[in-house]
Amino acid sequence: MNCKEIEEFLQAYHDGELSAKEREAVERHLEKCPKCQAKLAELKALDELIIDGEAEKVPDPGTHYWHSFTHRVTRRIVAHHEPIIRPRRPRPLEFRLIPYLSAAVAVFLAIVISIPLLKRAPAKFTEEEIAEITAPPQKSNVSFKRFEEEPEAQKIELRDKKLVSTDEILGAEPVETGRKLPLAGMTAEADKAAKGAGAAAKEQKPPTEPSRTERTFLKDEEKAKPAAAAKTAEPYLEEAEVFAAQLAPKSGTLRVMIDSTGQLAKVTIEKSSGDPKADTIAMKTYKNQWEGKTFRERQRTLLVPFSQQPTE
Amino acid sequence: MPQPVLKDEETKPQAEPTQPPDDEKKLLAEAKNGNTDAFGKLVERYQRRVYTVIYRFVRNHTEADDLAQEAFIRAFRAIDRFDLRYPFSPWMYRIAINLTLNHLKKRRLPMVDADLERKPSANNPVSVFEQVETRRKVHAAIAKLPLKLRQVLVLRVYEDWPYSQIAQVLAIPIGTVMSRLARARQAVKEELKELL
Repeated sequence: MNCKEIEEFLQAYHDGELSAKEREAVERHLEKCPKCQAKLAELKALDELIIDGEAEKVPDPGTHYWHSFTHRVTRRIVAHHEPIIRPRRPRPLEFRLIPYLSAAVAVFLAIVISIPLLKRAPAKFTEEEIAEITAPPQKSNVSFKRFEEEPEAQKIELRDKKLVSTDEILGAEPVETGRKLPLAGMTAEADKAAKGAGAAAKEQKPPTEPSRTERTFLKDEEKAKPAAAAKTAEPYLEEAEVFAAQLAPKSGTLRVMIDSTGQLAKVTIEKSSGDPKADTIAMKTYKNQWEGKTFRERQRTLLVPFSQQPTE
Repeated sequence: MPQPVLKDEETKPQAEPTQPPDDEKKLLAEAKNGNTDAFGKLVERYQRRVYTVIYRFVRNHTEADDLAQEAFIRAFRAIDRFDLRYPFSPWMYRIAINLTLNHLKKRRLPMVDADLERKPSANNPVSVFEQVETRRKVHAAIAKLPLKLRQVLVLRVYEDWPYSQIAQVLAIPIGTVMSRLARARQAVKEELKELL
């Protein structure tokens, strides 16, 4: 080795970092090279100067200090243990499986609980059950009754209104004569005729659209419903009479035809009362009462019921 | 009365085994699980050495004390990342030295030795003066070194660490240790030329 090569090894030799072989090679060169010996001496002197130049050796704070040092460090670690964000360590397998096990247990419990319920419920409905399910909902007695009653009441009321209104048309509308309550009058006449084997003629408007008068009447009646309760009682009674006449074995129906000019064109028997004499009296009574008067209605055919007490 | 100093066997690093001792491995494993008592035993085992290395740089007991404590606390916080296959001391030193060097960078003050003029080791006034002056110059020369050179020089000259350990602690190649050490010595020699 020459001096340049030794120079590279000199620091390592000084620091004791060379292998035995390298150390021997350096030492062989140093023995015969004063220049390199001087360089090595410089290194040693420098290190000694640095070491000696150290102001003081590291002081020993004492046993008490070292004991308290450990204690202080561990105390600070414990005190700050919670806020320390420790890197996540893989948790033990059993902890990692907890969410999956919980889900599995939940599914298992759901199945176990639902099995008896599924067994209890039939897989298919019987025909009776299907019929029961698909059948329309049965009305209760009350609702059925009301449902049946209300239209009937409406029917009566409407019929009553129509009757009254028709009478009003037949009685009030005539231009030449004054208005006359027809049913009461007819009933009275029928009573009179009954005494002499007469017939009571009553007219009923066929179920057509209510006329303007009817609409007005209906309107007015609706307005004056509470107050006119007493007034409407009479027509109800008349209605009852009409029904009674219709249901009576001797009741019949007149067919009243009104022509295009509003004149009474023809009165025939629509339904016989069973007593031809009574039928004739009813036709004559009706004709005598209304012939020659002009009706507001045109081209209409009216069916007018009448009742007849059996002739003695 | 001379102040007691730490003996070499207390401050110099032991011969670093490639594998940590079994009891140390056990303590480290327990510390990794959060056992502070086990870590306390490791602190007790390494506190003098860590304190000494730090003191070499800061030359101040209070700072050395604070930095040593902080170094151990940081080591505990980072112990999850420690590989049990390796010895503890290089890892611990690395934390302590990096912490100390960062502290010195932040301090931005020249490394002042509080004991520089206070505790001369001779009673002769002339020699006391010379000693103080020599110390001041040496101290100034070392303090002027860049941190990278200074840390290698301190660890090698004061702490007598082998190159391998310096390389391990500073996480640099041995060749870099050697070159930095040579540059540091050359720089100090230039500064202390008149004293050599």
